[in-house]
Amino acid sequence: MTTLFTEHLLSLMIAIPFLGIAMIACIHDQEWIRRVAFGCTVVDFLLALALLSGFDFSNQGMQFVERMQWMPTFNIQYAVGVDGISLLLVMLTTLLCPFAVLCSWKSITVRVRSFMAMILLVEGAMIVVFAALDLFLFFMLWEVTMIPMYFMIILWGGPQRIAAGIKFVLYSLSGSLVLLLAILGLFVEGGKTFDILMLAERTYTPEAQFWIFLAFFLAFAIKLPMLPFHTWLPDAHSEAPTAGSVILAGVLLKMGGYGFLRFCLPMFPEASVMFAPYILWLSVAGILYGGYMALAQSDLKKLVAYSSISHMGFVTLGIFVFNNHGIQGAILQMVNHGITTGALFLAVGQLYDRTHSRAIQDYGGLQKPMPRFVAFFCLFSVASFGLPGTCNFIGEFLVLVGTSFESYMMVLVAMGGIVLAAAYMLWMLQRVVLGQPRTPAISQLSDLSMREMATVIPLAVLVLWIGLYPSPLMEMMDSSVTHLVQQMAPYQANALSELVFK
Amino acid sequence: MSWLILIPLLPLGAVLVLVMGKPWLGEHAHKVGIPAVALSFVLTLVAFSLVLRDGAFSIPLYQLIQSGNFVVDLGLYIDQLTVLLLVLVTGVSSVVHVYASRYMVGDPRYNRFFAIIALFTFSMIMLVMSNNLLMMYVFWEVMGICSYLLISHWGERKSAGQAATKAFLVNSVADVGLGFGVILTYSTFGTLDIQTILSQAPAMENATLNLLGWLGLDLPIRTVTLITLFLFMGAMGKSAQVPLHVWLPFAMEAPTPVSALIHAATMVNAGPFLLVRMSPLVILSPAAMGVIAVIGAMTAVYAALVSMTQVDVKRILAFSTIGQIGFMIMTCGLGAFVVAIFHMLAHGCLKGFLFLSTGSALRAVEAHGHSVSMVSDHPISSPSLWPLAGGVALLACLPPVLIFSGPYEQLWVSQQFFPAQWGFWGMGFLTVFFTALYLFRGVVQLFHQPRGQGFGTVGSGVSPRFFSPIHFLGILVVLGGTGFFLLLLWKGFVEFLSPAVGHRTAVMVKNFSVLGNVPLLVSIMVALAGVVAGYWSFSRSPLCTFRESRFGRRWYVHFLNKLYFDEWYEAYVVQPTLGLAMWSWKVVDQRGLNGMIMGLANLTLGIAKWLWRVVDLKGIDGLVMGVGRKSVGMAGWLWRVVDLHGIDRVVVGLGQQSVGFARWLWRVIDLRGVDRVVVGVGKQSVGIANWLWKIIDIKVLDKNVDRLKEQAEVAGDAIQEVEPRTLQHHLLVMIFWLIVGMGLLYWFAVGE
Repeated sequence: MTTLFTEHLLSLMIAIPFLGIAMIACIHDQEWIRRVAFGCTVVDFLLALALLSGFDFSNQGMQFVERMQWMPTFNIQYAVGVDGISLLLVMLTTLLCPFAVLCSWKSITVRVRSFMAMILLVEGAMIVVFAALDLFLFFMLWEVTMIPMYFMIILWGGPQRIAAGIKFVLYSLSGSLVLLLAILGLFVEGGKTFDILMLAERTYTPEAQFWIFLAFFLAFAIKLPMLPFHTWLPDAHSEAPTAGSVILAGVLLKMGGYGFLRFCLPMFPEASVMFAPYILWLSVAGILYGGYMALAQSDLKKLVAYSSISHMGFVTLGIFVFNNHGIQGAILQMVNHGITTGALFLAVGQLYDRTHSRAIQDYGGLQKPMPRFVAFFCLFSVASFGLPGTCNFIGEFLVLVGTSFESYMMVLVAMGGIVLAAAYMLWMLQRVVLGQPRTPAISQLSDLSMREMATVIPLAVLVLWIGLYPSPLMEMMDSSVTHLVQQMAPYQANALSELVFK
Repeated sequence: MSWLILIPLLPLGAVLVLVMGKPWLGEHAHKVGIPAVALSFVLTLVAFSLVLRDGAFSIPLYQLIQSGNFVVDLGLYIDQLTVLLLVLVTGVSSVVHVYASRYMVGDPRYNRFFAIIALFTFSMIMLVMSNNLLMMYVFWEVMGICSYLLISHWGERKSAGQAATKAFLVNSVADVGLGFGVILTYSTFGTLDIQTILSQAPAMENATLNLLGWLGLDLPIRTVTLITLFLFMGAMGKSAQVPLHVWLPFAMEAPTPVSALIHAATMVNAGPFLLVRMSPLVILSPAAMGVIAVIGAMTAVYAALVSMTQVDVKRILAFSTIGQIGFMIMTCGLGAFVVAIFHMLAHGCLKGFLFLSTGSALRAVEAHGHSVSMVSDHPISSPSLWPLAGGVALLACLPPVLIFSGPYEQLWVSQQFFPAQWGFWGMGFLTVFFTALYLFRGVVQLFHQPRGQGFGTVGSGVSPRFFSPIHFLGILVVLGGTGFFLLLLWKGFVEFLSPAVGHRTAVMVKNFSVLGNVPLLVSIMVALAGVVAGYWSFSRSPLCTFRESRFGRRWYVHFLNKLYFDEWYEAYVVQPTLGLAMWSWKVVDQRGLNGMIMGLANLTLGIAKWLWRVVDLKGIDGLVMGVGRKSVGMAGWLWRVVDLHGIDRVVVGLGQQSVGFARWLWRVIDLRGVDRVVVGVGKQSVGIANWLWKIIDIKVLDKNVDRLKEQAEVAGDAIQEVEPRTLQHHLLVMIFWLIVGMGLLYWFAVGE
């Protein structure tokens, strides 16, 4: 029984959201639809904990692997498995989805069933994306994640939702197009197989590496998003309902970073090393640029959205320095960003539920009517700019340590981004939390309810816990990352980067 | 000795209890904070005695990060320097806790206040106990956020929020330096453990780093210099050194007990502490030390001059702190690390005392909501004046006495840099003079204002009970300060602290003598001159007339406005940054990048529309429509010309003629001829039909039919008996012969 359970644990985790969709399709009572959806996400999280407890940290390879023939003619199979990197992201996915359900408990009142189905669908799809060992499976579910997000934006979103939704889909589709090209290219070059592990073991000709890397990079850079491809994100984030923003910022963006780690680095090491200098400078530019953009925002959600761009700059910065510190920092940064930005969106959503305004200037003096809210909001804000002692600091610091082996200049410039982050977050806090209430209505706002407290307390605990004791997380991914770095090591010696830095 | 971990854990526990137990504690929050911090103070004294007996020791905690070869093991390191600062931190914090329990009565955020000052105390304790640069950096920042939360305690006031944001942001700019220094230290030494770094530092003395290599410059700088300078940048922020001092005067928005914590405990003292902690590394780099000394001296002189022009008591206090810390930084830069610590302790006690004794008056100011020129005339000022005067005298005279007592000059002279010695003297005496001057003047101003000008009647809102801690601090000043110095414990102090500040500094302090020391006498004279000048300026003499002169007034205005640092930052840093952000968002992001993408989308849409309108509508559709229209026209012409004119007319003409013909036919042939014939034939046929029916039908046919029916029945039975296949066979044979027959017929027909 236990072996059967552990052998099919991943498939079970994938199946549960879909089962949940089937279940809520048969329920008519709205309250029960919410309960069932919440139950499914919680069960999935518990299963993820089971996955964690059964995970062998010293093993660098894939674990909990399941394989089944799907379309034998094209060598396509249903193959899933996790290593240290994907395990963390699967954990993050299952962690955030219950909060996404909880925060839409009261705020979503129309088409509850379809909304919950969307959340469950996107959860299931994301777990597959992070666990897929087959390129075709990966691509298919990568596409699937886009659909529920699109509907969440255009059906339950803010005033500009249609434009935002279309922009999101157009960007995502262009990304998917190049991703499809890359996958087909890889299929042809890699000996007609879609098996990711087999593809990763082959070596490719430099030309093939160049083009396929470029296509993969473009797809992931749009998803992440990196600097020039980011303009879909502020609109999509700010127009999506709270749960949509949480999932989008918390997990969906990480598919890009995950893609770099799973495909770009191990499959095209030479191309990665060749492109690294440009990507690194682009990341550093993104860190500063996102900070500047956030500073200019008058909309709370857009501010958080632009801060995400800045944080994602740290992710690519860490990945493309190709050392242990950088990559571990980048993965931690992905997880931490998921937690803090997810929490910030939850908090902004709680404000929005009360006032139906996202404009910073409509607030002020929240300290008095909502002390509990303010405590959590401040915690998540300072965590977001990487205050030492909170989770983001560990990730950012590791990335900076990793970067310092490549270029001190980049470290200094990236640290400027942290100053900007402190500036926009504190300025926002000053305008929202401190001062006199803008309107009498603000001073009458009710503080957080028990349900709302339940959404923010666990995240607050995680923020502090990871900030003060990150070792367990680092241990989780240590061997996988070390393996990845060892794979990269031979290619770094003759790196082009030597010409650009130092 | 691991139970000493309780020193930081007690305040932390208080924080947790206060946060969790908020609904139940209410106005009793201080009952959690005070015992925790006081106990921590007691434990600190125990730790002090342990260190006095056994020297330094460390307590390992846990592993924070392990990433490849980057390992950060957290732990507490307790040596002479740590315990001295611990005494200062926990002592001041206990007093502040007791004081605040009365001072903050009735505050709506009483609980929050105590939670944050406990967290503040915790982070200060951890900062001085860190064995690790990263840990130090962490608590450096946690301290920063605590000060942010405390400065914005009365956040309803707009100025409080701005002051808090300003304090944190200025510090975060400085902390870029500190953070980078930490990273640089790691990449140089491969570890962040402070003691390991310090022991390895001499080996790295000549290592260089070319930081600007990416620009193509070949400018190798010694790594130790770089590390020291970057760490010092962090110290400049936290310790409010020019030009990063701007946050401290505004931090006065915090409740007075917090100001006492910030100014007296380790918040602003963190900078000198960091330099002293890293002193074996700092001393390796004369260049960095020169920078440190110059910045410290500049700050000291600047703050002295500014504080003499200020009328707001809070500003005077703030700038006096800036100046004193500047003095400490300068002494660090001169290599007199022990002096800096001694000065820090004395200053901490004095500043704590000053804040708490002016607190009730300050509170009246806060209650009134306007700043006043002078705070005085309070009943408490006179009894506490004497320890205060003693403390001031100590502060004014102590540092020069110690610095210029000889050995430190040697350090500078030994650097083979001639102007250094002159710089040392010039800078030193200037600083000593101004520090003595403003200290004396400022303090006298605070407490000796003639009655009636202040607002003694207003400041009576605080019950006299809480003056006991002030007396305690006063006694501390007297005992700690004058006691230490006058009883010539200085030498003992040096002996005690020298293990913590490195061998090289310690040796220099060894040959110390009070008598027969010319520089020492000169410096005392300078300090006394400063005191006298302070007295003069106070009693409207030469300095006041100087202020009236044209030249003097200009400088007076400059310093009154603090040399316009705030305005300068606002105009050249804050506004341009915000402007750049707005501009780049509107132009680069929205119009540029977004515009590009949207332009691309619009282009696609435009092409699609053009295709639709021009190619599809005009081209293909037009073609089709044209053809259609042509055919319609043709059809119309055909209809109109051929059909209507030609065919129709012909048809109509024909029609008319045939109608006439038909009429004729009908009338002549039909009615007359045919009709008659038909009627005749009709009648005859009816007769024939009747005959036929009677004869043929009934008699002949009916009978035949009946017979035929019988025969058919017989034949049917016969066919039924025939096997179906035989039937088919017969049919086929019949058809075959039919075909043969027909072929023969054809052949015959054709053949003929």
